[in-house]
This record gives sequence, C-alpha cells and structure tokens, in this order.
Amino acid sequence: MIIRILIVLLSTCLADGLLSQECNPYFDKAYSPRIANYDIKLSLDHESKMVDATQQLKWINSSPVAVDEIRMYLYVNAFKNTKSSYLRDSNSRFGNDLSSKPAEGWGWVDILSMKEQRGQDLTDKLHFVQPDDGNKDDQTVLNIPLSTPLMAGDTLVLNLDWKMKMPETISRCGYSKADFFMFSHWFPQAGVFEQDRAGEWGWNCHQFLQGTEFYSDFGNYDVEITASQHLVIGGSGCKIKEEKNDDGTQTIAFHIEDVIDFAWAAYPFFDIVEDQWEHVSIKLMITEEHCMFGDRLISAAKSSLAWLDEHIGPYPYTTLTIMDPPLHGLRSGFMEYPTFITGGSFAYFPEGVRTLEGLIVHEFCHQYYMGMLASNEKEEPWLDEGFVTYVEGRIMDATYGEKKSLFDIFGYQLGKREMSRVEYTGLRDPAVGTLSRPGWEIKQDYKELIYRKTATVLETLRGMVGDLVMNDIMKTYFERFKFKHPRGEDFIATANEVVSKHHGDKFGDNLDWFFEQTVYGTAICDYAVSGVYFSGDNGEYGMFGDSSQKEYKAIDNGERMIRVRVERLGDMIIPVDVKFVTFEGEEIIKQWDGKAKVKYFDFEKSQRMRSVHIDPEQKIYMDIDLNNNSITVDPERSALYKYGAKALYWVQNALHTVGMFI
Amino acid sequence: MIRALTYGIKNGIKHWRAGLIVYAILLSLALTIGIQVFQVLEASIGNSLELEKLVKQYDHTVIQDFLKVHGASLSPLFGQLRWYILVYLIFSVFINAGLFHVITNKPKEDWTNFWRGGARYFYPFLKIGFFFLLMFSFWTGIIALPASIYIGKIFGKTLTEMPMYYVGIIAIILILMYWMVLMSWSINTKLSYLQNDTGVWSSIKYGFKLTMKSFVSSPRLLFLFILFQLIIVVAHLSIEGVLGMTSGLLIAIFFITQQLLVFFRILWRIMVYKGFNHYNFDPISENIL
Repeated sequence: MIIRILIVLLSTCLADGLLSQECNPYFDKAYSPRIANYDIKLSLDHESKMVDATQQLKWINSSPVAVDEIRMYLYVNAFKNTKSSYLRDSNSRFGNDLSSKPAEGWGWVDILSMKEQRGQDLTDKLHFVQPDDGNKDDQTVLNIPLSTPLMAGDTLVLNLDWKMKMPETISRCGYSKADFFMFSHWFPQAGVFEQDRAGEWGWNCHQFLQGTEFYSDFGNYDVEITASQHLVIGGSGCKIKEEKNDDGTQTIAFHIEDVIDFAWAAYPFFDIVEDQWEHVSIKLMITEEHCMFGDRLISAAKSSLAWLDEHIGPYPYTTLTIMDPPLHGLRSGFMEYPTFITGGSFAYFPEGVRTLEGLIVHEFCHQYYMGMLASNEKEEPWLDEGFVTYVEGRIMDATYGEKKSLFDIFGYQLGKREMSRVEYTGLRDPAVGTLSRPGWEIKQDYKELIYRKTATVLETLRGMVGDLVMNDIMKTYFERFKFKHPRGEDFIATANEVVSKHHGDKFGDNLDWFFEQTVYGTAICDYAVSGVYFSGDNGEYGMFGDSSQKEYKAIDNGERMIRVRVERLGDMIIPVDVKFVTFEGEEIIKQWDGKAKVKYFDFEKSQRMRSVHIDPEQKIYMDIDLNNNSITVDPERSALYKYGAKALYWVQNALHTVGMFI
Repeated sequence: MIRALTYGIKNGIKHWRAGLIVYAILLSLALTIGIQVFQVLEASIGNSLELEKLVKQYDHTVIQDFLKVHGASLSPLFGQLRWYILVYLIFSVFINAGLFHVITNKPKEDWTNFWRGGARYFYPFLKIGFFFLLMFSFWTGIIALPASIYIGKIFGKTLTEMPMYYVGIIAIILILMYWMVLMSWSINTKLSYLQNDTGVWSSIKYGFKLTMKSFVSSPRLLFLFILFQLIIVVAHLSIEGVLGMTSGLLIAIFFITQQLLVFFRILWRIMVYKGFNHYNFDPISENIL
C-alpha cells in the first residue's frame, strides 16, 4: 500500500495503455456537405497574449437563393468590455470578478483586412450587427456585404487577416498562469445560412449571449499554429505537421474533416498519455498532479466510445483529445469541441466519486449531440445538453452500476440517472418553464431544466416504449440527421414513426400528447395511491345479545368490497400500470389511462389486498414523488428500525463527543 | 506512559456502574430525537413499498422524495436541536463532574458518587468547562480562519492545487494537536481541582503547569487512548460495511453492537481520566483504590 502511494506521489504520467497509432484525418468520402471550410495560419506570442492570423474561408452557397452578405461570429469580442451583450449587467462570470479585471485581462479580435478571392477588398464594408437585442455596443456578429451576390451552388473564398488579444480565461476561452491557453470560440466563424420555420432563407447567426454556445456549418479545418517551443499543444483532429523553427518557435498543423468547430490548448506542463480504442487514437493532455486519474479518464472515454458505437452509431473520427486543465485553468474545463473535450479534476479525488468520469462521458457524448447531430444549441439547447445528459446517464449506469454510478463511497450511493431525476423533481417549481425555448431566455434553473428535465423526459419515454424501441429511436434519429442540423420536431417525428412501427397505436395516433406536455408544456407528473379500504354498507357490526350474553359480531352479508383509491395529483396525464398484490400472493396488473383526478378499483372481499403500486417498474421516471406511488397494509418496518438505530447511534456519539470538550 | 495506559484501561473498567449511568442518560436524551424521527418517517412513508429499498442499501431517490415532500415535518426537529445541544452542554458539565468524582473514589460506590460528585462540583466545573470551551473555539478559529482565508485566496492562483492541500493538512494537524494539548490541560485542571481542593483559577494554572511539564507525554497518552478507540470504531464500520443492516436479524445484531460501542466509548472516557489521574497525580493512592 505504501509503495503504491509512493508510486502515485512520485510518478509522472506514465502511459500504461497502448500507444496511439498515427492518425489519419482524411475520410474516404465526405460525411457532411462541407459548407464552411477553414484554413487558418496563426502565430501566438505567449508573452503579449496576442495572435496574428491569416484565414481563408471557403463557403458554399448550398441554398437555392443568391446570397448578398455573409455573417460571421466574432465570439472573442464578447470579452472586450462589459457593454457586450454577453457581459452586460454582469459583475462576474464563472467566478471572474469583472470589476477588478486588469486592462490586459480583456480580449478582442480585429479584422485587419478581408478580401474576396474574386478580387474585391471588403474591409471598408465590414460592420457589426446585433440581430438579437439591438445592443450597438455588441461586436460579436460581423456583417460582410458582398460586392456581387453569390449564386446558388457557388463557392465564396474570403481571405482574412486578423489580430486577436486573448482574454484572461473567461467562459473557457483565454489564458491563465504560466502560459496556459485555451482557444475556444476563437476565430471568425461563419454563421448558418438556412431556412427558418416560416420557410424564409437567411442567416442564423446569433450574438454571443449567455446560455448559448454552438451553431455553425460543417466543414474541413486546416489550422497551422506557430508558437514557442516550450508549449505542449493539442487540438481537434490529427497533427499532420510538427516542426521546430530556428527562432525558438515550433509550427504544428492540424487537419480535421466534417466538423462544426475547432479548438486547441497549450501549456508547458502538460504530460501526454496516449491510448487506442479501435480506430480512435486517444490523447490525454494532463498535468503531473492529475496523472493519477489517467486510467480513470481514458477508461471513461473508452466506455463512452463503445456504448455510443453500439447504441447510437459509429464515431467516424480517428482522434479524441482530452485536455484536463490545471486548477488555475479550471474555467477552461468542462466543455466540448469536435474531437477535443476538456475535463476538470482535483488531485486525490477518491475513486468512489465518479464526477470526473461523468464529466468525460458527458463531454464525449457531445461529439454526437452537437458534434454530428448539429442542432441549434442556441435556440434549442434541450436537443444538445438534454440528450447528452440522458445518454451520459445510460453510459454511466451501464459502466459503473445502476444507482451507484456517480457516488459509491462510505455506503452513500447515487446513480447518474437518479441524480438527474432528483435535480429536476427537486426544483422548487418543476413547472418553471418549457424545454423548447432559446437558451438566452432561460434565466433560472437552466441546468435543472435543460439538462436534467430533458434527460428525465427521455428516460420516461424509454420506460414507456421499452429499451429496444428507445434504442431504435435514438439510432434512427442519428442515422437520419447526422451531419445535419436537426430540430426538435425532427426528433419527435422520428420518435412517432419508430414507436408506431413497433407498437402500432398502443400510444394513440402518435406521441405528440407526450411531447406537448413534457417538451412544449410544463406539466407535472404525480400519481399516488391514497387508500385501500372496505367499501359498502351492508353488514351488521357491534354488540349483540342481552345482559351477560352480549357478543361482538361483525357480520358481513357478502356485499362488501375491497376498494383501492388512486389519484392524479399533477396535471400531466399519462397511462400507467397499477399492480395489486393480495395476501394470498395473487398479482393483478391493471392499466389506467391516468386521466381521472380520482379513480377507484374494486375487488371482491376475498381478495384481501396487501399492496397497491402505481407504475411498479418505475417507467414513468418523471413522477415527482415515487414514494406515494405505493401503499402496503403490511409494511416492512425494518427500514424504520434500521435508520432509527443509526440515528440513535450517531446522536449518542455526537452528544458524547461534545461533552468531551467542556 | 504505557503503565498509565494499561492502568487506565484495567481500572477504568471497574467503574462500569458510572458508565452505565452515563449510557442511560445519553440513551434517554438521544431517544427523544430518535423517536420523533421514527414517528415522522412512519407517518409519512411508513406504508410505502419504497421503504423496503432502504433495508437493502441507501437509496437516494427514496430519501430525496421523502425530504422534498415531508422535509417540512423535520424542520421543528431541527429547531429543537439548537436548544437541545445548549441544554446538553450544561448537562454534560454535571456528567463530567460526576465522572471525575467517581474515578477518584472506590468503584463500588459509583452509584452514589456519580450523583454526589455531579451536584457538588457542578458550578466549579461549569466555570472550567466554559473556560475550555472558549479556548477550543478561540484557538481553533485562530488556526482555521487564516488557513481557510489563505486557501480561498490562493484557490486557482497557484500552479497546482498542492499548496492548498498542504496548508489544509497542516491546519488540520495543528488543530488536532492543539485539541489534544487542550484536552490534556482540561483533564489535568479538573483532576487538580478534585485532588488539591483549590480554586478554579488555581486549578487551571496548575493544570496548565502539569500539561506543560508533560507537554509531549500527556497528549501522547491521550493519542494512544484515541487510537485504541478508533481501531474499534473502524472495525465496527468495516464489518457493517461488509454485512450491512439488511435483515431484521442483522439490524438487531448491529443495534446491540452499536449500543455496546457507545457504552465502550463512555468507559473509554473513564479510562482516560483514570490514566491521567494515575500519570499526573498520586499513583500510589490510585493503587489502593
């Protein structure tokens, strides 16, 4: 044991897994329409935190209409000052006190020049627009009027020179101590030209607002970075070039295809641990004090790869890079980018606390929900974070055990799926808002709604339709919409189709009634058993006879019944099973459409009812109080005695200890 | 010191009668809370089938659903606890006075000596107890407060989290060492009051002198006693962790074990006092008892 501790304390990150193979980033065929393609060459001055870059954007007009302007995100300008829409009305972000931020802590990006390959210089025409809130001080969306409209099917080539000042880490992007850099949401990136719900073509390019993250088109990325040789650099995709330059810098180039974004990080003190899962080279960038977690993090990534490959669809990319930031760079952690995810760990985190693994699983699932199924996270975050939380729960429970996947320490156990449920049901008001609305509109309980409620809704759907059908829904949704921009209605249509294929009209014409209540509505589900008793009044009870011959009798004329009362306490209506168990061991299952506020089930008096259980298999995971779903007239008191004994023991000990100090 | 330790253990057990009295007091006090918790649980989810899950293992869903719906029923209980602890602190002065009195007398007279000592020494022990409570709180704050402020300030500002851990560990070690010295001082003071029949302040001073004289050995003696106790408590937790309270029989077995452990902890306290008395005061007269 002592030797083991010493090894852990003294070791650097020794890779004990397989070394990764050389990765090949080039796909044989294009998976996506490759609308927005980037070639970026940049140099980083780690001392001044400045970046100078040239960028070529090749953008294909895949619409049937001519395009006369381009819109680009300039996310970094959100960190320019507190007048940006992202920081307006905030004193702090992610624990960053904005009022005490020094001048060098702010970041910005300036476009120095922009030319069309067709020859026209567009630099003078560039201007910022604010399509969401009209805040003229917000510079996160750039409008680029073209000299001549770009016709349908044509390709636009834009050449940009830009300069960026990295901010002190804020909302993941930025620098921290000792030359730690995280480049996320960092380069000028094209928005999405698409049809809105009314059928009109136009740019979907929202300002950078709180509660929003990704929405962009698929494409190929070539990113060439020149930076000091002391930095260890990792990023999305495969490293295809690595050179040492005479001036003390290095040039590293990455290539990746069919993705919606590119991120990278640099730090002098990263160790690299490499491993392999089938065709995927896994690279872990981790600091020495966190090396002890190498196996845990890689194992979590491998479990995710295997589970998603089997249950959702294949991961086509050949790399996965995990960046575990140092403590001072923690604000850069907990995030997802194509083939590049960031964790967040603290040294000596006990093995029974699997939040580290949960984080890796969660961020990896984003490779599917947001990465390949590139829904608009800004407008419909439930399709992204919510789906990820649902899948994360399933992977965690499958890998580390149900009801103990997240915590299993000192007798305290908690599963990932049940944590999602209790965080949703534990809301002060679970009906606080609908799921289907833009992220920037959700001012409170964002995580509990978007992450947890969505996961619980999907768990409920799984409970209703069964594992097989749910897996089919998720697989079909992935297969049909991968490398596209699916919307909520696409998922619902897929679910309706698959459920109908498997179950016919068991759930009605479709499942719209379910999604209306759970996604577009705020209905609360709560069913309860409120009583088991005798019903009917035909009998004689009491004392009979005279004087000393009095005798107690309870004469039943045979017309009394056993009656069970169940209730719908919430406003959500959903069909449920009700299980009745008699003292003789007979089990009776009845279906209830769940519509009535109060419903009675009557039984012959010979069927002495021992217990009644609504939804005994807990398929309806959304039910906010599962304890009131059952009643037994023959309760098991052991649990009460057990916890009573424990409470007594600890109170006695506490009292005794307190007494020692006085 | 080992002699004091073995002496304390051997002769402390002889005062099982006093231990039994304290155990009965603790049990009746704890029952007032325990019974209420039991009643709230029984009235709220006592007839739910979900309760059966709690027998097998901890179930977060059952507990959370209970707290969410019936948590308010427990609120008055927490309100009571504040007063309960305050009253208990005063009552524990009586217990301490009784225990110190019995260990300086013959074990066979524990039944009467406990109550007699509790009554006779209550006020001086209240003053001593108040003094040491202040010392515990004040000096713990003196170490813990700057340490926590420092940790808060350097959070995320050092290259690694290790300096935070080091500061935290050093602070905890300092606090524990300090507690041990203070507890030795507290025991010596009370023994001094009983043995020398001087005033409260003189006893505190004499107790301090004694503790300083045996600055290393007194806390070390206390540490040995604590270690002895810790081994038994950890053994119990490990066995419970493996077997679990998962059936009526196991619940009964563990309930008895737990209650024996509580009784043992009280005996252990008597052993500590006995060992200190032997080590720092009259070891010859101790042998007569």
